[in-house]
Amino acid sequence: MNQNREMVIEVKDLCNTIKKTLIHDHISFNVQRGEVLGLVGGSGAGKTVLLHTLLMLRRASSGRVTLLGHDIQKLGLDEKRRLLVRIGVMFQHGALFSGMTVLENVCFPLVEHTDLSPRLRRETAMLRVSMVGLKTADVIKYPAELSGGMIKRAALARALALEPEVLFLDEPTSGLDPVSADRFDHMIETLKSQLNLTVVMVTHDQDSLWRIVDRAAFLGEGKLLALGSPAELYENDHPMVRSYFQASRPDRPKSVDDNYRQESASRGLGDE
Amino acid sequence: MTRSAAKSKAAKKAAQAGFVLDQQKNRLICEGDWTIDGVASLEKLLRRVHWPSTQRWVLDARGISRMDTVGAWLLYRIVMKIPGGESLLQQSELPSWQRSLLDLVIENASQGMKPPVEQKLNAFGRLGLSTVRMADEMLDMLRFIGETSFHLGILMLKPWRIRFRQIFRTIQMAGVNALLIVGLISFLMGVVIAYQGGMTLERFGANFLVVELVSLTMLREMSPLLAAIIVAGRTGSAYTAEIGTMQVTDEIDALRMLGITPIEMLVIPKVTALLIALPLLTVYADITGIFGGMVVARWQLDVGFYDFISRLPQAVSISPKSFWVGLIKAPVFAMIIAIIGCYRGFKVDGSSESVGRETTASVVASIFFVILIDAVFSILFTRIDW
Repeated sequence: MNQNREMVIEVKDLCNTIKKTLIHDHISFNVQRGEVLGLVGGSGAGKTVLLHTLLMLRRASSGRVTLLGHDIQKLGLDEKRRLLVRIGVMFQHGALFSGMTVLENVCFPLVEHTDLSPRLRRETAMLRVSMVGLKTADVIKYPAELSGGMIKRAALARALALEPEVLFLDEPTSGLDPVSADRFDHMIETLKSQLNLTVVMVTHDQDSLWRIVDRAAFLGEGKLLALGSPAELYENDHPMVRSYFQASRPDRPKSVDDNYRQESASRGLGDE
Repeated sequence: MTRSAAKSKAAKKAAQAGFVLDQQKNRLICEGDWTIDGVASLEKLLRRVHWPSTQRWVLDARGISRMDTVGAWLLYRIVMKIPGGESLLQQSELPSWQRSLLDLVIENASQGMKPPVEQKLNAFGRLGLSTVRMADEMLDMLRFIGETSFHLGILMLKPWRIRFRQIFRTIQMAGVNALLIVGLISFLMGVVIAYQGGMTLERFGANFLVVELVSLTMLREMSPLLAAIIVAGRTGSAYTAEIGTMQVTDEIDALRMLGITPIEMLVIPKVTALLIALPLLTVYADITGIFGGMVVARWQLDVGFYDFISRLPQAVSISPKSFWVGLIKAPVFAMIIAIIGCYRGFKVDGSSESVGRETTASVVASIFFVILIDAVFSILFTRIDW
């Protein structure tokens, strides 16, 4: 990889302990501008804790995290506010404000952090809504009236509201049917290239892993077990990484798929 | 300059975006940071501009150092104000990153930038709608009461299915834990009544009548009302919030799927618990309230504790059923509070805001109905001479 590219996130020797349990044991990795980094690992591997640490929702026990050139543990209130405006977050269940319509949800960050006129705010929000593929008629609906896929889209629109440089996605395709998940991945990829975003996503969906992730970080046993392209991870021979990638059977690039099929046949796994 | 390099400087203060309409050379010159934090100045500029009516303009966007989708949208909006804007945009020489942003914006703007407006009703429409809603609400409430009574009947027949543990826990929370506040407030109320009334009585030398004053007011009206209002605020609201939150998190549906009727599990124990707790609280409030009156009588009106207590039976005998008048109301109030509290909880529609809304509505409605029914009771008791 190009070493000259700018690092958007640098994590160095990060440790996290929750109630005396070591969740992260000296984790280090970097995220470059413009790439899509996937955080993968079994349930309870500490993906969400890591994400929350990066987002400053929890303090790391020790170690250093640099986000867009700022050490996040040494930020003043004002600096933190200014930094938060440059990142967008889409939570796993959308976390849309249930008392506001979709349009109000998307407008909300604009009201709080910009001095745009109401008209331009509305237009910006409509632009976001359209970019994530929601219909104009949907914007006056409340989150309770939306389907799962639409909630995800609306949440993405809100995450994009302030033109973020880095986008954090927590399981963006969980709970979506394969077709919608496929479309959602495609949308993220398009938006990423159009808006020149850096994306960090927690995912369990192997389809999205193969489709849009440039590099994946595999967490397990509190450590970063592997870091590399999905294909590299697939070839990794750490037992946890291996079993994770062979636990499900998504469609994947032809060569890898054939490879996988032979392997599983020889192991007696076969088709389900 | 690539867009990524430009964006990386976003941390620094954004240069204001601006544009000039050069009328002599027919040029639209744009410059500065056309980004979300730089375009606020553009909007002010937009309001003052006189748009040209002549054709053949040239767009000069070389001065734009940074641009994002908001900037691109504004650029599009500005160019479209100029006659022949569409073709002007097509022909202009723009860096590819600006061009692709513009394409993205134009593509998405074609869907329409105006959110649909909801049809607003006129005054008559609103009146009608709220009338219908109110009637619906009444029916719904009746249905709920019916359902609760039905399940109550079933439980009478199958008493082993009564959830005693739940009932006792609720009595603990609604009754025992409220002792301090109910006691304090009714004590103070006794003090206030004795003090206010006593001053007047003293002028007539009828100090000892304070016993009648305090005991009758407390027993007949004050204690049941006070206890009910405090319980409505403490417990009725808690019922609504609890059931409402369970509704939001699908717990109610989970109960249904386990073959448990939410009414049997959640409503009946709550109603039963209040039916037991509120009368007890009322008696307790009677005692503390009268004690409050006694304290004032002792120190302000020279009616000692002994005199006060020995006069009590005689005082109450003016209308001998006073104690029962107060006590009969308590279970009715308990029903009102518990039923409204639970009913409102089930009305929560999935948004966290509605939990708050319904909780407020529950407290307001229960206090209103408690006082309304209290008034009805007053008339009733006068008629039958209790």
